[in-house]
Amino acid sequence: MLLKVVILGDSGVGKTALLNQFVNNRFSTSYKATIGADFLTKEAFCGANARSVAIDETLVTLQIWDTAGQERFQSLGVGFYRGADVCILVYDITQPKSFENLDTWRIEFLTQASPSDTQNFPFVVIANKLDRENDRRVATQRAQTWCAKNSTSILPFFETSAKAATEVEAAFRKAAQLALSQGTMQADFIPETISFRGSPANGDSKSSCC
Amino acid sequence: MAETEAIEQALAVRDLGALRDLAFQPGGYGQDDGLRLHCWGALVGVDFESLPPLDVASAAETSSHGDRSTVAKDVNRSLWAAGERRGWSEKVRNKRRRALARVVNATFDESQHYYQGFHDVAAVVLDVSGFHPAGERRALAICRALARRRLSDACKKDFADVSTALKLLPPLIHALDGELGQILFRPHDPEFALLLEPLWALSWAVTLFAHNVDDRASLFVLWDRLLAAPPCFSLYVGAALVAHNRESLIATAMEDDAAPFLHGALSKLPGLTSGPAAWDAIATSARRLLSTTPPARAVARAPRRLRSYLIPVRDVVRTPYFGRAAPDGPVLLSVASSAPDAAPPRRRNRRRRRRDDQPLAIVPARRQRVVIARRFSVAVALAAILGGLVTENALLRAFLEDPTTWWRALVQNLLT
Repeated sequence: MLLKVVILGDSGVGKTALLNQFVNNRFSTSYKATIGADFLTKEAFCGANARSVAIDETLVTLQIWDTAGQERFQSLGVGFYRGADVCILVYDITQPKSFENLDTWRIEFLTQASPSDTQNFPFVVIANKLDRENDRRVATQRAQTWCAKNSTSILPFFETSAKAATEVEAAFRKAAQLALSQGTMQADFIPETISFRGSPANGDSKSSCC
Repeated sequence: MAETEAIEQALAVRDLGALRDLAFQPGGYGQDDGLRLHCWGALVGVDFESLPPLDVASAAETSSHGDRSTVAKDVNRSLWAAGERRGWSEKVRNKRRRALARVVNATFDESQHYYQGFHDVAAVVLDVSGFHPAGERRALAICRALARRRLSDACKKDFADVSTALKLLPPLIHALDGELGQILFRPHDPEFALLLEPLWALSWAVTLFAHNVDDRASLFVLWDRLLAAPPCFSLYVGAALVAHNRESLIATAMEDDAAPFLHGALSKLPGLTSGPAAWDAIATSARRLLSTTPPARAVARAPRRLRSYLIPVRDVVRTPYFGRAAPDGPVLLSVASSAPDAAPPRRRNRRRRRRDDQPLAIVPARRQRVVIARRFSVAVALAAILGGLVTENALLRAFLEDPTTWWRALVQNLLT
């Protein structure tokens, strides 16, 4: 089963680094600006249904689109937004502006992707660069308030560090789970746990990041 | 060595025609950065001798463009490859980054917008001009020339023109390799829609491959050729690059859910193409394609299924005399040479160019007239037979005698 994930946020918040940590379990200091859009995939096993009986392990392939942060690139991204199952919004805890722009990113995504149910479309919010706690300028409370305001149910919120690999896996796991439950709501199949298998060395994940 | 002399000679007399041809020699303008910089300057119309004594640092400070914070972010994650190759310490790299930020900030003003990727362009120019005050001044002159002409589509308030220009890639790839074109571009398959918005080639066009090719030796020679050719040449190189890798792309296309993987594979092609020989072959193929199939012809000959997709491009390239005086179309589609004092095209090319400057509509109209004439003559023949004016035998005889002018025989037959 294929799940399409789009990751959005201002430039320099660490979108590419988060993806690289999640897909390849690596952090590199020598990132460069993303120009256009990069595409990565990771295979994962989704298990356990709504009644918490650990059966029906489903193999899902996460198809993740990494995008450029500068606004002028967004109008070109329609093809990637369309058909997305979940959207991950990222900001940098040391850059208040990147947090304030979450509204714009969310609206932009809903406009361009035009999902059938905009009210309940799943988003996950990631506050990145937790390793720079000393430079923090966006309080956790403030982000949680925003999440509560922008969702009818709970908008999952994670504070991560792509550098230290803190909570990165958990955030993506949540995104995958939401995407899957969104797609299978009618089938009454809501997975609770998702385990990721394989490492890039075994060739289980394909990456096409440049 | 003979080549170096020829390059110096061409520079001395500012013979741009000769300089352009020399770029396509193996090795381009050679390995001397100083000589290369002068060639680039001549090609983009910058005369280093008459540069104003400009202070790049103060020009950077006073420039009024609105993307300084983005420039800072991008510059702070740049120069990795250059630093590694030249063995810079972190301190030196940061110093170089400050120089890069100065040049980028001084390039833009309120009418020109910085875009992510221009910092890669400026880094290449600075790498060749040298990280010292005189080098920064020269780099700035070249960067400004690039931003105002060759890369001006990308410096507008949005990427609409770049987006239009990129649509030329599918017909160019079709022209080079019809089978590959059929596999990659499927307007009726929603899954493949994302390959038709050629975002995979965006960084090629807006950074002249600087973002993608880490091997600087190959990149410099590629730039020799890009700057020696009209602005549309980066799209031609892109098409030749895709055709060059046809086997691996066709293999990827066989996989399930191939479209996104093809996007990934396509966008990675420049980085995976290594060695001067591969890039020589690609540049040669691109140059040949440009001479046989300029943009207007590529669009005119595109397969029928791409027709509606190509409407925005067609509207631009069919404008009469586009290339010499097109007011609004994307510069990236232009076949006109980029230097303002460009020499006129050499005689050999003149006839062909003039024809390409004609409105495209002539081609379909002429074809249409032929079709109408044929249909008309068939209708006349049928009417004549049905009306009992001639016998089928007479008609057949006339046709067998001369298949091209049988209808004349028919008319004569009718008249007599």
